[in-house]
Amino acid sequence: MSSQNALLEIDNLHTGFNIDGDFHHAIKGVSFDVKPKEVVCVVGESGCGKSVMSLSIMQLLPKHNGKIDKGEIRFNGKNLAEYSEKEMNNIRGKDISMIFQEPMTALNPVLTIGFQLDEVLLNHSKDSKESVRKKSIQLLKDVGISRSDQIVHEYPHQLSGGMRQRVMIAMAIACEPQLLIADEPTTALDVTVQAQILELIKKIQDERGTAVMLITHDLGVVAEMADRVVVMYAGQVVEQSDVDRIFHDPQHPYTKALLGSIPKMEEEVDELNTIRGIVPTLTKMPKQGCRFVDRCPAAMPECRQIDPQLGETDKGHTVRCLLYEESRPGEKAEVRS
Amino acid sequence: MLLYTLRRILIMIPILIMISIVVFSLALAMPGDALSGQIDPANTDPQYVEQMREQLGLNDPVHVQYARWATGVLQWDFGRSFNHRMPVTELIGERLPNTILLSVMSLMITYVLAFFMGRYAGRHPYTPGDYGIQGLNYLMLAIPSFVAAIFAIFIFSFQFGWFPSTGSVGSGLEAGTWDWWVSKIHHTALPALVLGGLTTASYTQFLRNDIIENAQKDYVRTARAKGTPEGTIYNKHILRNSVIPIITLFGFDIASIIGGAVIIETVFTYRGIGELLISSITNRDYSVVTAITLMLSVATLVGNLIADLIYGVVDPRIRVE
Repeated sequence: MSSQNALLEIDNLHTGFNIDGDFHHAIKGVSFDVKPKEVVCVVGESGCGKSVMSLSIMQLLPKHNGKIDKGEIRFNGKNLAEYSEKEMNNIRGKDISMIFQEPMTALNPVLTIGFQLDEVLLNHSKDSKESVRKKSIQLLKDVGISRSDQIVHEYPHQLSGGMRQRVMIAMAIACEPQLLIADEPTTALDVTVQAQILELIKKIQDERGTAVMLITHDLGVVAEMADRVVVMYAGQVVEQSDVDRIFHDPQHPYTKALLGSIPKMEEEVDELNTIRGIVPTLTKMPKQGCRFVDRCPAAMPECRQIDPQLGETDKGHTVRCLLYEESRPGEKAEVRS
Repeated sequence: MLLYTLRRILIMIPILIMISIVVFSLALAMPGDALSGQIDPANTDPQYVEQMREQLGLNDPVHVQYARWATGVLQWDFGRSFNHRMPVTELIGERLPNTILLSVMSLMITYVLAFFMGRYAGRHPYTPGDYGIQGLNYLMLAIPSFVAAIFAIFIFSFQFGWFPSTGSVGSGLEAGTWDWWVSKIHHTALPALVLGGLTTASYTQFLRNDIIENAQKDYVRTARAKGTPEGTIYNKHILRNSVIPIITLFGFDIASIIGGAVIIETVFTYRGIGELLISSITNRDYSVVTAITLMLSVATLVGNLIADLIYGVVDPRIRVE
């Protein structure tokens, strides 16, 4: 069923953590894929498992308690979940690279920008230090940092948040990866800087043909950037489709609620729309039924008993909700986009 | 940097004056005085005692005594040792090289052991190797140094005969010759091993915990996301960060290089500053006691200054412009 030309296929991924001796799934059966040169946005509230999913792809989960438990992550057809640490090191930074949320802490405070940028190039090539340094300076220019030949000698604390995120992006694109995973790259930045960083990512994607998996909870960013959208809730994909249909024909109550909580300029309201309640924590996840049921405005009694499946309601539009016949187990086999 | 150093040295002056007052008062507050250490107060003519006290200036008001002492100190004259009948500066000068040798040797042992054990335990936490190192650490923290010293003497000096048990150099050797140096190091090795071994515990634990903490940091995740091998992450990224807190300890070590190990030197009757301090306190040789205490204070202040300057070298965030 999987499309042949996908760059990254996540297939029934289960990832979890050992908490006080029990294994709890943070990701339970997530499947979707990213095609070459495509921008896929993964949206959802904090605690939905978006970051855990991206860390699973890179195999950067905390070693002492995080584990991929089931499922496959196929990159160019090869299952990364079976790769050894050493094999993963050849992929990380070269074929798949990642930008993190916190530019303030994501760089090593005691090493120079140049060292940290050179490192990724040296990890994946046999070039001399001098040629690598030249390339680093050029990369910094590419991401819009002026006087980059001086910046290489400076330390992270001497740069602003936006500059640091540009450095992170320079590192991420240094080896011309096929896939760039950006985990909330703009959340920690000022609004004006946010727009610049998004523009930069968009430009890189256009010019270099890099596929981008953008993790965000900002639907404004989604509208701006995405080709396709994957909505996650409590470790599961609840809806996915192309960006137009997500915004104009949302089907899952959670997606509708997310869209409804965007404040509108033209309406004057006393109170902002919110989704009441919070995402259940890992240890408090319902064992049966829909995971959104406690917060869902359209909840039905059977939602507590039947696990909804991801069903295709329209071509390329899948949803996990019992309001749609396609989501009832047994009536239609689980499909992926 | 130079300006900063100068400013720090200037700030040290008032601190030193305050320390000197405290040191001097404490010496005065000690039971007895220089005279009662020399004579048997019960069997001496009280008139003679009074006469001597007057002559030594012990009857003068406190501030006059302090002023006299402080003037001397400023001229590098710490008075005379009543016990050894020689200038204090000369006495300390005689002992200081021994103590420095002992301290440097023991520090080297500490640093080398702690570096390798801490690095291993930090990189492989909660493994049998780590538990072994930690068990050793607790054992070394729990054993008082005089007990360890006595055990070491019993085992390595008496049973195996590998090291001499007392003194700081063999007799009948001419200072400065090759044999003299070998004998000195041979005498220093066992106390240095005990001293260095015991202090390893806190360093190892510090380094281990800091490495474990740093391994969770975001920048480590970034380094891993770049495909950096695990070994490089630990040796370059984490270790550079983890040595920073160790430098605080290094500041205190500089004081201990000069102060010596009071207990170890006494047990080994090693002729160093620590042993001199103890014997001077017992003999009420208070000019020596004040001189050593003051020297230790200065060493601590200088040690902290050096530690602060090294901080700037290893941590760019607090580099002083």
